[in-house]
Amino acid sequence: MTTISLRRFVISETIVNMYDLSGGLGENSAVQPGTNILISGSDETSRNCILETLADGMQNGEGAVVVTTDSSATAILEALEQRGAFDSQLLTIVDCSGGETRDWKAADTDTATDDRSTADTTGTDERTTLADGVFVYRAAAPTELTAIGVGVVECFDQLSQRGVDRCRVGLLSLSTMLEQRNESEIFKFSHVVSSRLDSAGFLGLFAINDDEADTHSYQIIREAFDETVEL
Amino acid sequence: MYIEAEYPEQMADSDPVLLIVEDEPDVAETYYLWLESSYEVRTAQNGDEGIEQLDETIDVVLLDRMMPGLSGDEVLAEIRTQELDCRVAMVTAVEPDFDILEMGFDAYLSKPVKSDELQNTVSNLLERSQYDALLQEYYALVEKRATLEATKNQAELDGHEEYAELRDRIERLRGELSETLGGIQDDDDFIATIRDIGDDS
Repeated sequence: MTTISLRRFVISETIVNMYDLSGGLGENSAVQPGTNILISGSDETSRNCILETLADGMQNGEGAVVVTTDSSATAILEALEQRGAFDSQLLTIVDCSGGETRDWKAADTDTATDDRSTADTTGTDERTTLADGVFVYRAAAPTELTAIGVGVVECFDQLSQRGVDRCRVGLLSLSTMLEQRNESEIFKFSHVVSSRLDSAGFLGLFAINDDEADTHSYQIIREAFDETVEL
Repeated sequence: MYIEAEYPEQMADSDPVLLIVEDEPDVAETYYLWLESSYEVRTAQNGDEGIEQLDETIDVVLLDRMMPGLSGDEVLAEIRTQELDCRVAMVTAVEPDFDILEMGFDAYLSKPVKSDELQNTVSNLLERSQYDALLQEYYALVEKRATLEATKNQAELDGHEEYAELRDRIERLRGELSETLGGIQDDDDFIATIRDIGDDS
């Protein structure tokens, strides 16, 4: 299913600190801490692959940060629930969808939010807890790069307070961000986020729609990552 | 150094320029003495004077928050309105209870400011500027390479001297970026660097 030619991919059982990617990205694949992977595929395929990989990490006690630009935090929660249990102490979400679920699970996400959330609004950003402990940071829109950065840092802080020192970050997706910010901004953003994850020793998974695959922007943006996987 | 070779206009041997906006003369004088050996230091005694002295040559502003007349916040707003490419450290008597980065400051120092704190803050802010410039150059070169790759076939690329050189430069820049700001080890540097991306465009 995948076209894998990854420099950092090695057989997982040999090295202890590697992030195991067997579930989402192929048997016996694992990468070193600090690896950032661009995942190109249809919106649905890349989202499933990334959520699968994050869910696997949570089963091993690793933290998860989902940055979502096109689905609400509640929709992400439900997608993870459908995959089996998730650990609310290990899951954090930066929701910059602006409350909209654009292309999937449009039904009943709003009402679910009301039932399950307790909000703490400070300034322009909103911090919420969903489903007994899932920390959610809401940024106004996918264009708000700085707010996304602040959200990611706050998720790391939450996980660190909960004693979690390994973490997988999934961003869904760069394509939405490219609709509203130019390629230069998204390239730089990707580079800076990748660098931060690299120095923290985390794993980064960034979705991009394969409609972009032949574009000039894609050729540029892929440079910001260690590896590219085409689903 | 590589960066200087690429940016002859920045090669001027002059030191980075700092502007201290501080209404207490003794305090301003102390900062001046600590910093003058490494930087060109200018001073302003209040917000109005500070705004008068703003120009493109300034790299870092040390801005007292509480001053008679124009406050530090108002001077900051003017700096951002003029879209000056300088970093601003807020100097304050009390530890701020809000996110100074969200306010538009790049760093803060609480009084009394110690010499090493001041030196570290200034050099960190200059390093952020350097990172920003390196990242812009990195993007420009990657963009250029993508254009070449899209318009030439492999055989043409293999014999293309500029292409080979471009690849080397991209490789070296990536290395320099990973060494600047410790490869973004710090959360404040991380957020400040992201904020610069929006400001550039």
